[in-house]
Amino acid sequence: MSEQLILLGIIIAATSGVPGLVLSRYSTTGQCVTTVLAVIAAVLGLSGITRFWTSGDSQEIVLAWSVPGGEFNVSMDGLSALFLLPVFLVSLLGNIYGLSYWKQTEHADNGRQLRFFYGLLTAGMALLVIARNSMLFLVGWEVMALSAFFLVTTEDDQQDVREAGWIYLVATHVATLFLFGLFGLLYAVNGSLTLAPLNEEAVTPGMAWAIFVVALVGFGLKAGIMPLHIWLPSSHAIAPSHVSAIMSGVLIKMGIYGIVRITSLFPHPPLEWGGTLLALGAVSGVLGVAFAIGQHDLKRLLAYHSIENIGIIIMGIGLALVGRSVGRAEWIILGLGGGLLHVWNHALFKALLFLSAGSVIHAVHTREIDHLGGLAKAMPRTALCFLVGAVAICGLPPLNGFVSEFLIYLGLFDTLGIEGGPSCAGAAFGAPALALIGALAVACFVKVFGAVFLGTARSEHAQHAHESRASMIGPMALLVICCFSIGLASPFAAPVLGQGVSSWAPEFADKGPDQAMLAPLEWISILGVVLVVALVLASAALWLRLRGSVVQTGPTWGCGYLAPTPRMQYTSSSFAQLLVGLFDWVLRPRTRAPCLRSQAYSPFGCELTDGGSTMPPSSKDLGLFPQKTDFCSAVPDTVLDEAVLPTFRIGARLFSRLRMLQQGSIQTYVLYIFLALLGLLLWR
Amino acid sequence: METIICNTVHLVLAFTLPPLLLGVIAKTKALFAGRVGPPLLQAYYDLIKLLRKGSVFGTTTTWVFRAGPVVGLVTTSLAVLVVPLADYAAPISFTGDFVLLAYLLGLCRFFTASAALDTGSAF
Repeated sequence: MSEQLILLGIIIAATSGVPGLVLSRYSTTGQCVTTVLAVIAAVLGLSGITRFWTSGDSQEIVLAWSVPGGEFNVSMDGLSALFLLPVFLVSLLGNIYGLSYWKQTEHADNGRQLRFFYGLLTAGMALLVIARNSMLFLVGWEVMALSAFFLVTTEDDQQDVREAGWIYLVATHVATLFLFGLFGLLYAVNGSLTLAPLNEEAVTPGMAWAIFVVALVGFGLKAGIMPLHIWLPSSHAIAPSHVSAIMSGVLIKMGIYGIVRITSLFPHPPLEWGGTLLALGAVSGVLGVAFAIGQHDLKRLLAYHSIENIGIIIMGIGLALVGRSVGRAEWIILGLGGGLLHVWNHALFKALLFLSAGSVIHAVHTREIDHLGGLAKAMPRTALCFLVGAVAICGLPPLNGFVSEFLIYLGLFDTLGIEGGPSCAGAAFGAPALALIGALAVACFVKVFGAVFLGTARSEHAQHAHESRASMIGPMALLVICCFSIGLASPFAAPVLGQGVSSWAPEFADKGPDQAMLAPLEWISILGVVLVVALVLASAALWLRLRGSVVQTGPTWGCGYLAPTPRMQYTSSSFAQLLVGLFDWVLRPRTRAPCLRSQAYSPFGCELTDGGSTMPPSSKDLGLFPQKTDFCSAVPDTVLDEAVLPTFRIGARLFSRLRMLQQGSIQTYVLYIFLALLGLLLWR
Repeated sequence: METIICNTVHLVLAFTLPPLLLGVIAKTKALFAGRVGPPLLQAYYDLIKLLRKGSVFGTTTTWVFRAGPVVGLVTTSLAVLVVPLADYAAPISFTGDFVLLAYLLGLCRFFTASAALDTGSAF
C-alpha cells in the first residue's frame, strides 16, 4: 500500500508544474495551483513513508516495461524510506517558500519554468530512491539531473549562471556515463538489471573493485566528494535559494544513496573499501570547511559546507563498511546510523540555512557577505532561523547535528577495540578529523553570522533591509522545529535508523537499534532538554536583573574613539585571515593589496600571496603620502581552476584537430554517410 | 549515600573554586616577574563589585550580545556535570560523555565570539 501512495505522490509531484504552464504568466494563480498539488504530493508521499514505518510491510510492484532489460520494479525498504522523507519534506517547504521568494508576477519570464522543473526534480529523486531496476533508476536519475540543470540556469540571461550551468551539465553527464558503466558491470555479474544482492561466487575481487570504483566516481560526482565537487559551489551559489536548498539538502544525497545502495549489495566488502571512504570523507570534510572559511559569497560558502557534511556522512558509511568487513555490528549501527541520521540532519539545517540566506538576498539583493551587516535588527526572525541552522550545522548541542556526529564519534572510538574483539585502530584517526571539522565549522559560522546579522550595516542596501513575508518565514520556522525535535528526541529516530541499517546489512538485522546507540542517545536527549530549560531560566534571571538595575546604552567603546564606523568591524575576510593562512597550501588565496615599497615590513596582505598567485598590484608605489588604494582577496576553487580546467583545455586543443572533419558543407557530410554505409556493407 | 555526598562536594567545589585559579595564576606570574601581585582572592572581590554595578550596552548590540554570557554560564555549568572529580565518577557519565563536554564548550565559544562581533567594533 505504501508503494502505491508514494507512486501517486510522485505522479502528482511530476505534474504539479503543468497547470502553471498553460495559465497566465502575469498572475499568481499558477503558482497557487502548483503549491496545492505539491502539498497533496507531499502528504501522499509522507503518509506512504509513515505507513511503511508503522506497518513495516512492503509489496514490490512489478510491471512489464518494453525497454530492453528494463522492468518497472519499485519497492520500499528501510533505506528508501529514510532517503524519501527529505525529498518530500524539503520539496514541499521549498514550494511554499517560492510563493513569495520567486513570485510569478515578479518573475514572469522564468517562474513557470522553475515550478515545472521543481516538481519534476522531486519526482525524479523519489522515483530513483524506490526503483529496484537499473533502467528505472537511471530514468529517475536523469530526470533529476536534467531538471536540476534547468533549475540552476533559471536566470539564464546572466553570464555567470550560464557558466555554472555548463559546468554542472558536464559533471552530471560524466556521472551518468560512470553509472552506465556501473550497471553494465552489475549486469555482467548478476545477469539481470535488477538491483539485488550479488552472487558471491560470480564476483571476482577485480570485478568487485571495478564496481566499487566506478560507483564511487559516478555517485561521488553527484554527492560532491572533495576532488569531484567542482560543479557544486558555483551552481549552488547562482541558483534561486529554494533550489539551492533542495539541491544541497536532497539532490546531492542521491549520490550518497547510490553509494549506500551499491555497497549494500556486497555482503563481504574488502576492508580497504571502508578505509578509502573514511579517508575520502575526512579529506572532503576538512578541505570543504577550509574552502568555506575563505569564501565571502554567502551561498557559495554554504555550498562548501555541503561538501564538508557529505564528508561526515561518507566517514559514517566508511566506518560501517569497515564494520561489515570485520563483522562488528556496533560499527555498522553507529557508523551507518550516524551517517543516515546526518543525511536527514543536513537536509534540514542546510535547507534552513539556504532559505534564510534567500530571505537575506531577497531583502538586500546581494550575496556578498562584506556588504551586509547588522541585519538582526531589521530581520530578527530570519536572524534567529539562521542562528539555529548555524548552531545545528556546527554539530553543537542541543540541536540535531550533534546527535549524528556523536554517533559517528562513538563508532570511531569503538574501533580502538574492546578486549577480545577485532580492532581497526586506523579508523580512529577519523575522530580527530571530525573534531577539526567541527572546530573550523564553528569559526566559519561565527564569521558568517557575525558579518551578516551582527554589528552595523556595511552598505546602503543592508541599512534598508526588511523582514520577509510569513510564507517565507513559515517553512524556515518548521525546519527550526525539526532541528530541535531531532536534537531533543533522538531516541525516537533510532528504530527508523535501525530499519535502514538492517536493510543495508541484513545479516545483522536481528541486532536492531543496538543498546550501544540507544543508551547514550537517551542521555543526549535529557541533557539537551536540561540545556534548553537552563538557558530559558538563565535568560529570565538576566531579564529580571536588568529590569531592577541601572542600564545605560551608548556607542561601543573604541579606545576613546567616539564615532565608530562600520569599517571598524571585522569583515569576513579579516576574521578568516588567520585560518585561510593556515590552509593556504591548498586554498591558494588570491589577494590584491598595495605593496608598501618604502617599508621593509608590510603590515598586512602581502604575506598572504605566498601560497597562491597574485593579482596585479593595484598601485605600484604608495609614495610618501597615502593615496587612494584598495585591497581584495578571493579563494577560488583550486581543483577546478588548477586541475580540471587546464586538463579540459589540453583536451580541447587535442580534439580541435578533429575539426578538419567538420567543415559545414553538406556535400562532405553526404560523403561521410556514404562512406559509413560502404564500410558497414563491407564489414558484414 | 557516598555518591550524594561526593556529587554535592563536586558541585560546591566546581562553582566556588574557579576564581581562585585566576588568583593562583596571577600570583605565580607575579612571583616569576619579581612583583608582589594582586591578592589571591582578587577575582572574588571583582565579581562582588561587578555584581553591584549597573550595565552598559552598546547601541549596535542586539539580544545576541546579552545571550553570550548566559550561554557561557549555562554551558559551563552543564559541562561541569560530566567532568569527574579526582578518583570519583562524574555526577553524569555515559559512553562518549567527553564528546558532549567538548561540544558544550564549543557552544559556549560560538556565542562568546558572536557576542563580541555584535558590538560592531574590532576593539
